[in-house]
Amino acid sequence: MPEDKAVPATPPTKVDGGTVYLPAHALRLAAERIACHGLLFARVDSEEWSAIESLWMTDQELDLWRGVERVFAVMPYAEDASTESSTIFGRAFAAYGAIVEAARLVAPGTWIDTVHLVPVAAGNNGFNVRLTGPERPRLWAAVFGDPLKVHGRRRAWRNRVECRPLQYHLPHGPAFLLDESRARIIETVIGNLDNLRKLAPDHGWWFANRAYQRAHDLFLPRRHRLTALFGVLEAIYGPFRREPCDAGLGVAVVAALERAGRDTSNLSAYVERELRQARNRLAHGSDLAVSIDFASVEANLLEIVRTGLNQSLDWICGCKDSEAPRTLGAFQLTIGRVVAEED
Amino acid sequence: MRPEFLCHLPFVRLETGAVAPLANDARLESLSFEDWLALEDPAMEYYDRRYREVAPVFVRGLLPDGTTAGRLDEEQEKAAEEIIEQAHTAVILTAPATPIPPPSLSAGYVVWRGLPCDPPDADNCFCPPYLDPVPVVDDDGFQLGRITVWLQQAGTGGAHEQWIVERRFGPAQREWLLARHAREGIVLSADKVQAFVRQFGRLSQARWGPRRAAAGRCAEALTTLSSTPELNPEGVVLLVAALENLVNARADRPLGDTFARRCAAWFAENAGERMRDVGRFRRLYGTRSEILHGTDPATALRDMASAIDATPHAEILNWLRLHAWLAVDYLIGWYARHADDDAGATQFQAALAQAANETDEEWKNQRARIVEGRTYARG
Repeated sequence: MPEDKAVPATPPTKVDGGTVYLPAHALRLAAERIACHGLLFARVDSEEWSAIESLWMTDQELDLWRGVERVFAVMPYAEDASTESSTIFGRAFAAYGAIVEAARLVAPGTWIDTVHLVPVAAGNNGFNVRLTGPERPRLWAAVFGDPLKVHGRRRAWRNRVECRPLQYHLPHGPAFLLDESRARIIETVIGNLDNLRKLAPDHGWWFANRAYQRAHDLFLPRRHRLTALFGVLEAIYGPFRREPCDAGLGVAVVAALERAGRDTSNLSAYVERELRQARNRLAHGSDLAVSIDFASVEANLLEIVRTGLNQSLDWICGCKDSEAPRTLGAFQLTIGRVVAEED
Repeated sequence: MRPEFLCHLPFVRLETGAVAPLANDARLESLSFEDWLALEDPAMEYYDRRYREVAPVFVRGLLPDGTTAGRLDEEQEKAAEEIIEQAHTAVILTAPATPIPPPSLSAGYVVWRGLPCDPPDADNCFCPPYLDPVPVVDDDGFQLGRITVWLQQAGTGGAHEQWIVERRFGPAQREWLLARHAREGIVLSADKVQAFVRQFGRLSQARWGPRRAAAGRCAEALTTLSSTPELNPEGVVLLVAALENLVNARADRPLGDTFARRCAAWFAENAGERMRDVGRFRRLYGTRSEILHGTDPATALRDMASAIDATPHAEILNWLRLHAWLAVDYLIGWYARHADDDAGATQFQAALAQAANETDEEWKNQRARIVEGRTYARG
């Protein structure tokens, strides 16, 4: 048979593999690249970004976005990832989700949950596969950390002229600084959480932690986030209600934060007065006429609750092999609470 | 000069593309690309095709007159908040089973039109060199980004004029105006548009918004309960808190029993339901307490399911959604007839507390007055 010149001598090689990029909005890196739990956090420059993001997205507000640091969690893969159902996204989300869960227990700052992320699998074959949807906005224009300086400019276009004064775009949430030391602490916390999962997968601590994680969801209104946080506060430190001979919630919070070496001046009174008032507003809707600074309540609660979650986690994991897992009620006894069962 | 406020309703589309007039000279419409572009960065002209495909829907209405073009005063901000809350609440009442994100997560615009053109300065600019930031967090607690620009372009009559536009961006910024997935969501048929118009009219008459704060919590609880197909424990806490704030804000003891008696007096349609509902709402309060105090909610929700004769979580969720919806519907009717009642619904609470203490016969009469103006009855 004569050789058909239109048909290649060998079939084209299928090229698998590539790199998954998960946008780490709100992350500030202390180094060019930081490895953590199987992912590499790295800055991506404009050129690389335009290779993995749609043009209609990168072309918006070019002048605004030029100087913004874009950090991604990067994971190479070897298999085929040509569809949105590829398992590579699941693997990347699992690693990233574990980091998010632990990082929130390590320090304040914004981490976007994996359900809201838009990952891109940039294949070695030159094709990008991107997961998008109503729950996954790109968030490139969202501002985290310091206010974004929006430069003044004049733009003329056909018969329209737009003048923009110098102004600041206020942040949608705080930034999170990732350095080598924090990356190692995050990995340690991931290990501790794995240990607790093996030790007591249904422990009450997990309910508190799930609510704590929900309280970081940027897409929930503040009142919802605070409701979750107050649930965690009472789960970890015991209820606002005080039993006979009970030191009370304020004293328990002070005890835990002193152990962590934090400044506790006026803390007990703050918990018993301001936090109680804010909690009653949320739980019972009372005192609508009284103005409450919920932004600072949220920041303070996050700090208090984070400390309590970490201490109780260490305490629960510190039991001997022969012991039954320690309960949150028993933890509360160690910080001065006398807690009766709920009627 | 009365500025106009345009509030995007994400994931809502109109079947016909028609404009629906709303109360207070507001309107619901798929904002045309040309009208949107006139508010936007001139470079957005490139997004013509994307924008037309999504056909974003806005509620637009005039704000009160203010002192300074380019910056809303307190009264104008409150009026803008009322438009947002009335528009969002009208959508969730029209389509209660559809998760509709709060408009604050997306984009909104405030526009001052018809200003005389300022002469350009030495740099050929006609805007002030610097604007102070406005640190505003809206009532929902979402931080908004704001960019204000001065535009000189053809006005409605064709003559060249100056506009000032404040672009308000939630975290999703323009994505839900331009992304193809923004075409997903609810398409309002002509009937649904009419339902929206009706609800918006009732909400306007009730002056729904920050001045109806206690009632607004029920709408917020309904949003939360509709946002996912799963029952979220915080949703239970939020609904009970919203209801308790309306039936027992003075914290009359015992809390759980008072809550249950008054909720039953509000929602039950007859004496038999009233007796049955006391037990159900008492269990709901107990469930809320167990969740709030950090107990694993699974057991509490199982007890709750048994109390309302529901088996799967979806049935509990529907029961909770129904009562959040009814509370909003009844309160719109209440405020429409009691415009002088306050943000905490003090008059409503007094009327309900009294009705809850009455015998069945007298309760029936008093309750009929409390729920007058509602559009739906349970069962």
